[in-house]
Amino acid sequence: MSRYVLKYTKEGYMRYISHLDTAQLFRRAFSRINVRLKHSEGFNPHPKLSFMQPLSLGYSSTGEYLEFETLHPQNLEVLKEKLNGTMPKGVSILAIRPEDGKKAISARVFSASYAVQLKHAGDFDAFKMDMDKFLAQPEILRERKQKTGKIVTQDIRPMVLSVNVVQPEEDITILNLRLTAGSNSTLNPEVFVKCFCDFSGRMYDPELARYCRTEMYLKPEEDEIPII
Amino acid sequence: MNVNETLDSLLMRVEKPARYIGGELHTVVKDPESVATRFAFAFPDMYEIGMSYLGLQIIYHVLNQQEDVACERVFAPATDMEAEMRRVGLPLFTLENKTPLKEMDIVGFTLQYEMSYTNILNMLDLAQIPMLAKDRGEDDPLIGAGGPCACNPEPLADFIDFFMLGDGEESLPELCRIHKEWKAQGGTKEEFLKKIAKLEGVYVPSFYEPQYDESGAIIGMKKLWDEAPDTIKKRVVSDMDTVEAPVHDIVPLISVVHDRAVVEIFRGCTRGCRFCQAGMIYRPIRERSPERIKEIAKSQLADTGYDEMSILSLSSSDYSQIEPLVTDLMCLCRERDAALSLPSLRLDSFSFKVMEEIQGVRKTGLTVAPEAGTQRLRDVINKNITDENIYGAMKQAIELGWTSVKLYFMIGLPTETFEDLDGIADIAANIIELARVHNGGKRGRFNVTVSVSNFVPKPHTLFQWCAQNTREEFEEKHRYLREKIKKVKGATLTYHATDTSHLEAVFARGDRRTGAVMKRAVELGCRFDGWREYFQYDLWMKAFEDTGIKAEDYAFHAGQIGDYLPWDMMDYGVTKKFLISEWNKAQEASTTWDCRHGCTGCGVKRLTECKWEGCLK
Repeated sequence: MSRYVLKYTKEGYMRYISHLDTAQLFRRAFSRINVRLKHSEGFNPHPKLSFMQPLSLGYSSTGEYLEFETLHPQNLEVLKEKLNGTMPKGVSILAIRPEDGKKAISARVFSASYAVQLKHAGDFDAFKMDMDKFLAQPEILRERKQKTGKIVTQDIRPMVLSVNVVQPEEDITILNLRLTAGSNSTLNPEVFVKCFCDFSGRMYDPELARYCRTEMYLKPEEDEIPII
Repeated sequence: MNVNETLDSLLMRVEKPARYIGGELHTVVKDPESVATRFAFAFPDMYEIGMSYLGLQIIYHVLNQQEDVACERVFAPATDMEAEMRRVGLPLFTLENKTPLKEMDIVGFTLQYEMSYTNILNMLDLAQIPMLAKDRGEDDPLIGAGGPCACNPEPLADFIDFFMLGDGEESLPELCRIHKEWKAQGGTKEEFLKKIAKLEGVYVPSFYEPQYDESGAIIGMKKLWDEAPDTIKKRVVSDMDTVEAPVHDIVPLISVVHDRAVVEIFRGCTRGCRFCQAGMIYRPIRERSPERIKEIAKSQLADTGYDEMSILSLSSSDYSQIEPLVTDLMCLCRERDAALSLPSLRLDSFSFKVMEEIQGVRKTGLTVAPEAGTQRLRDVINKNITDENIYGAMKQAIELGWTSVKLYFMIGLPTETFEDLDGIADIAANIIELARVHNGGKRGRFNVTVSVSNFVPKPHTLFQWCAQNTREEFEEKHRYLREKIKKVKGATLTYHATDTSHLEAVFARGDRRTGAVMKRAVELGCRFDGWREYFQYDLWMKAFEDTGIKAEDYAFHAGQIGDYLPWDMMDYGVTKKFLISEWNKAQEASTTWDCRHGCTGCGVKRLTECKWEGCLK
C-alpha cells in the first residue's frame, strides 16, 4: 500500500501561485527527488495527485493537504526531508501519513478553519457586538450568480460552524472561522466577511483583509479532528 | 512602504501575480553588499516569454557563477501591472532582491526581436531612469544590450550605453571584471565606457556619430574618440563543450510558453538560406559533443523535474550524430517519464521513425517549411528543398496516418511573381490529392493549413539591399492567395498583419534617427508591439508624423550595393564581398551548397576556426 496524505503550508509570495500551478509544483518536486507517482490510466496518463478544497489565489495556508500514490513504498521521514529540500521558500511539508481509507480524503473533507486578519476594522467591542447580532439571525441570505448566469438566493448561516473574534493588537482584528468546505457545501471566508460588512454597514476593502486557511477537517461523524 | 509591501498591496489587483514575485527554484539571491557588480538581466517582454528563453538561463548561470557578480532578473510588466505601478509610484524592480532597477550597477537588455524595442524604453521609464543616455547621470545604472538584434544597434543607439555583439558567455564576465576594477578606482561612466570599448565585441555608440549627405542618406560613421575601434567584431564561443551551460535551470512557478528542459545541441547553421539572418550572424557551426549534451540533459531533467525536454538548434537534423543522439535522449527521457520534443527536424525517414516512437498513436500537427511556392524562387532564396522532398515526406506522413499538415511560406520575397503564389496553392492542392489517392478517392479528415508570413529584409543578409513589399502589394498578394486557396477543398490560409511587418522592417534596417520615432511612440502609449492585442498602428503613424521620419524611407528602400549601411561597422564574420556574390547568384536563381560540402568563403574564418567546413565532402 503506497497511498499517502501530505500536509503542507503555502505562505509569503507562494500565496500567488494558483491551484493548478501548485499541482505542477508538486509533480515536478516528486520528479526531482526521483519518487515515481502512479499515473492515471487512459489516453493521456498523468501522475495522480489530488488536492482537497482548492485555495483561492492570494490566501495563505498553514494546513493544506495533498493525497498521492507512489509506485513504491516510501520511508516517510526521508520523503518529507527530501521534499522540503526541493521546495521554493513559502512551501513546507509539515507531515506525511499513509492513507488506506477506501474513499479519497478529498471526498471526505467537511470543514476548514480560517484566520482572517482585518486592518482598521474600527472599535473592537462594537465589532464583536455586531458579529453576535449577525450570527443570531435565523438565516443569512445572500444572492449568488450561478455558472449559468441565474441568480439564486442562498442561506449561508448553516455553513458557518463557529466564529471567534480577537484583537491581538491595536487596529488588528482577527476572525477565527470554521466554515463548511467539501463536496456538498463550501463557504468562502471572503463571502462571510462581505456579508457581515453588508449587515453591519461597514465598507469592505479587500486590501485590508488577509486570509489564511489554518486547518481542514473530515466529516464530523468520522472525526472532528484535523486530517493530520 | 518598501518594495515588498507595496508590491504585496498590488498583486491581488493584477492578472497572474506570480509574474512579479520571483522565488522560483534555483534562483540565486545574493547579498547585494557581498558583490561588486549588481547586474539586472532585463527581458523586454512578459515573464512567460522571457522564462522560455534559453539565453536567459545561460547568462543568469554564467554571471551568478562569478563570485563578485549578482545577476537578477526583470521582465516587462503587463499593462495592468504597469498601470498599478504607475498609480502608486512603484519603480520597476528586480525579482530576486526586489531592488529598484535604478539602484543596480548594470541593466542588460536582451534584443530578441525589433517589436520589443518600445518595451525597453518603457521599462527604463517605469524604472524612473531617463530613456536617453545623454540625460542619465553618474548615479544612474549603465544600460547595456546584446542578442541577435544587436547586429544593427543603431535604432537603439541613443538609449543604450553599450552593446555586446555575439556570444555572451565569455564577454559578460570579462565586462563585469572591468566594472569591478573601475568601481574600485571610482572613475566616471565615460572612463568605464572607454575601457570596455576596447573589449572585443563591445560597441559604445556615443563614441561615434553618423554622417549624412545632403539627401539625408547615411554615408559613414565619424569617430568622436580616436581610440574607438573602426569595426566591432562579434564574440564567438569556439568550444561548446567547455563553455558554461546551465544545469540548474530556474523552474517557473507558473506555466510559461515553453515549459520544458532545453539543451542546445549546436550553434550556427551551414545551410545558407539567403533570407535568414540567424544563418548568417551565428556562423560558424559549432557542435556540442553527444556526451556533453547527454550530461546536460540528464542533470537538467533531474534538477528541474520537467516532464518534457527539447533540443535546440537552427536545424536539428544537421547535427552530425543526430540519430544516435535522439535514440539516447529518448531512452533518457523514458527513464524519467518525460517526453522528448524535437523541433526543426527535417522530414526524412529517420524523423518519421522517431515521431512514430515518441508520439505513438497521437498524431498532432506536422509542419513543413518550403518557404516559397516554386523551385525557381526556392533557388533564389537558397532554400534547398525540392518538390520531391516535399511530396515524398507528405506521402510518408499520410501513409503513417497524419491528417493535419501545416505549411510555412513567405511572401514578398525578392523576384517573387504571381506564379510563385500559384505554386503555394499548387503545393497545398497536390498534398491533399496525395491524401485523396491514399484514402481511395476520399479526402476524409485530411487538411492542410497554409501559413504565410511577410518577408522582412534583414541586415547582414544579402537581402539587406532589398525593398520590402508595400502594404498594397502585400494586401493584393493576400487577396490573390485567399481566392486561390479557397478553391482548394481542405486547405485554409492564415497570414500575418502587414503593419507589424512594416515596423519590423523599419527597425531592422533603421539608422540612429529612427530612435526618435520609437521614443515618441512610447510616449504616445505604444508597448508590446509584438502582441496583436496591444499593437496600436495609429499611434505609430502619429509618432512618425510627429518626428517627421518616413517609415517608407526605411521599409521600402532598395539600396545600391555600394551604399554605406548603418550596420557596416558591425563585423559578424560574413563579409560584404560574400553577400554581394550571393546577391548576384540570387538574381540568377543559382544556389550555393551547404558549406559542410566545402567552404563557400563567407569570411567567418577571419574571426574564428571553422571546424565543420567540408566535413561532408
